[in-house]
Parts: sequence; structure tokens; C-alpha cells
Amino acid sequence: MGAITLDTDQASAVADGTDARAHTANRIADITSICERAARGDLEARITGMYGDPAWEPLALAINRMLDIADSFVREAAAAMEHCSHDEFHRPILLRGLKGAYRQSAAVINHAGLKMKESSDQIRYIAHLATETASNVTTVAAACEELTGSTSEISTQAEGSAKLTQEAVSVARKATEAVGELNTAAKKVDKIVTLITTIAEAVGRINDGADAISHSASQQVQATSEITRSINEVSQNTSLISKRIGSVGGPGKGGV
Amino acid sequence: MESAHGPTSRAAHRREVHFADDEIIVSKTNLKGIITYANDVFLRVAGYTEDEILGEPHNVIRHPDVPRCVFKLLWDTLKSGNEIFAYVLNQARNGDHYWVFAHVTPSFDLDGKPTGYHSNRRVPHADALAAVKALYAQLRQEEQRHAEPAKALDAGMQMVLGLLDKNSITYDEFVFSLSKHTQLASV
Repeated sequence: MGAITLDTDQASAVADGTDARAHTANRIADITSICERAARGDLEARITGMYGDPAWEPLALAINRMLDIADSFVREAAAAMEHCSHDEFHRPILLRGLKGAYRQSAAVINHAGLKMKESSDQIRYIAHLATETASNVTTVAAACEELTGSTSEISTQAEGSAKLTQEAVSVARKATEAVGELNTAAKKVDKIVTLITTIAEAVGRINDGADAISHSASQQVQATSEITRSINEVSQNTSLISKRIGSVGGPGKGGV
Repeated sequence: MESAHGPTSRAAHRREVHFADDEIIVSKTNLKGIITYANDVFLRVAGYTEDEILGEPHNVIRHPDVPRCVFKLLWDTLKSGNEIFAYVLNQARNGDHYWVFAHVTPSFDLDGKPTGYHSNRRVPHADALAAVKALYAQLRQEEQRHAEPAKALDAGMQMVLGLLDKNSITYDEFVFSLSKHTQLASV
């Protein structure tokens, strides 16, 4: 227990008037002890048992009031700062009941607490922005990743398209070559048809020559010569046709 | 104003007594709640002599109108080693009453060992008191619905916790929010 209560022996001694000096010395010793405890930081001690003693009551009250206000301030300041250290700013030091330097110091501490609150609010705001930014960066990164995937897909598809184009070009080239070959073959066939027509005309003329033999003996030699020339011509054309036919080939060889 | 230190009238009148804004009612108890010190303001307002009050349990000044859950909250908080603020209606020896804004803290010796409790009581601000009176009336009504004390206490506590939960604040935040004079931006 912190309070020091004067014992009844001391009171009796005073009443008897036998040991007033000892009584005074004891009270002074008790008060000194309490003040020394307070000086060591023990603010629990109080003086009790002096009410009604006009010589000591004012002193006891004064010391107790001094200790009460110091005790109160220490508890208040410590608790308020502890709350601030936990980012809790709802608990100021209450000014009511504090006087003089205690009140002024409490106001200074409360002002510091308010500044700490403002700083804390700013830090929370910055942290919020940082979190938001991080979230946005993550979103952008995800979008970039998605874009990269899309680009890769497009590249793959473009590559496939290029192959298809190359194949189409190759097919078109082959088709062109086939058409060219068909064209060449058609021209050769046309020439063959012309030669066949020429042969037919020559055969016609042979027939005409044979008819002329029967009509004119004089014309026999000439006719024979004509026949021989025609036969030679037919022979030559036939040979040429054979060669042309052999060289036509047709689209089947290098066809599409 | 009543006598500074001596016993006050024990007449059965019921009136509200006051103390000055710059005064603090101070008392100390041991761990069992037995009063070991009461300052001169305490003695004057509560109407006890030092001889009468030392050694008495602190609930000697408890007023029956204060919901029981308030004291449960107070003692639970103290026993957990924390301070607590509470608006409390106290009863003087003669039946008079006085409102206080109590700040109760555990006391420790120089080795950090708990030795008791310390109470500073200030004059409450009027803006808070109006809200507190209304709240306490509701809590009393809730507690009085239950005949069994334990159930009454639990019902009161549930109402307090529900109020705090509804407003998403702690008890500390709540009690300091009741007056603009107890908020950091205003003091």
C-alpha cells in the first residue's frame, strides 16, 4: 500500500505533550520518505492520517495534490503516446483538470499527436496509391501478356497464311505452265491439221492425175512425174506429221 | 459547497452535486478494489471522512442507476492491464449523486508488477452527458428485462457490443467520440 498513515501512538504523544519534538521528527521523516519515493519515480505514495491536524493537514494536502497531478499527467501522457504508437489517434490527453505547465505540456503533446495523425493519414494515402499502382501495373502486365499471346497467335496464323500463299503461288505457276504446254500442244495440233489438209489436197491431186492418165497418154509422163512429186510430198508431210505428233506430248506429262 | 473534508449531511435528500472543472477526484485501491487513498475532492464531493472511506470497497460510491454492464466492462478492461474511460454516476454518502468522466488505470510497482488501481475523475462535458444518459437508460431497461443477474448482465453487454459493432468502432473510440472536447482535433 502506498499511503503512509500516522499511527495512534504519535497522536497520543502529541496529546500528552510529552514528546512533541519526536512526533514532529516522525512526521517529517514520513513526508520525506514519500517525497523521496516520488523522486525515484514511485508516484503511488500518498500521505494519509493528517486530516484534522491543523499543523500538518495543509502540508499533507499540498504534497498529495502535487503527487496527484503528477501521477495523473504521467498516466495520461503515457497512455496517449502509446495509442499514437499504435496508429490510434482517438485518445488525447484530457486538458480538463490540468493546470499550468501540465496543461501546456499536454497541449503540446496533443498537437504532436495531431501531427502524427496527419503523417499517418498521408502514409496510409500513399500506401493506398502504391497498392493501387501495383494493381494497375499488374493489370497492364496481364494485358501485355495477353497481347503477346495474341501477337504470337497472329504470327503463327500469318506464317500459315504465307505457306498457303506459297502453295497457291506454286499451284498457280504449275497451272500456268500447264496452260502454256496446252497452248503449245494446241499450236502443234493446228499445224498437224494443216499438214493433214495439205496431204488431203495432195491425195486429191493424185486422184486427179490418175484421171488424167486415162484421158491423155501424152500427159502420162507428166502425170507420172506429178504423181511421183505428190507422193514424195505426201511422204515428206507424213514423216513431218509423225515427228510433230511425237513432239506434242500433251498436258498429261507435265500436267497440273 | 460542502465542507472540504469533514462528513457531509446524511439527510436523505437527492440532489446532484458538482465539483469544479479544474478539479480531479482521485482515489487508489488495491487489487481487490479496497480504497487505499482518496483525495480531498473525493472526500468533499462523496461526503466521507478519510477514516470512513479508507478500507472500504470502491463500489461504496456506486450508484444503482448505472448499468451493471458498464462496471463489468470497466473491471474486465482493468484486469487485462489496460486503462479505461467511462462516464459514471456516483452516489455520495447522503444519497446525492454526481456524474464523472472516470479514467481508471492499473498501477504497477517499479518492477512492473500490478499493485492496484488508480482513478481520476473529471467533470464530464455536457454534450457527452446527454448521449450517455440516453444510452444508460436503454441499457438499464435491457438489464431489467431479466430477473437473473447473470442474464441481465449478459444482455447489457450484448447491447453494448452490438452498438459498437454496428458503428464499427472500439469502445475507446466510442467513449472519446461522445464529446467534441475529448477528441484530438478539438483539445
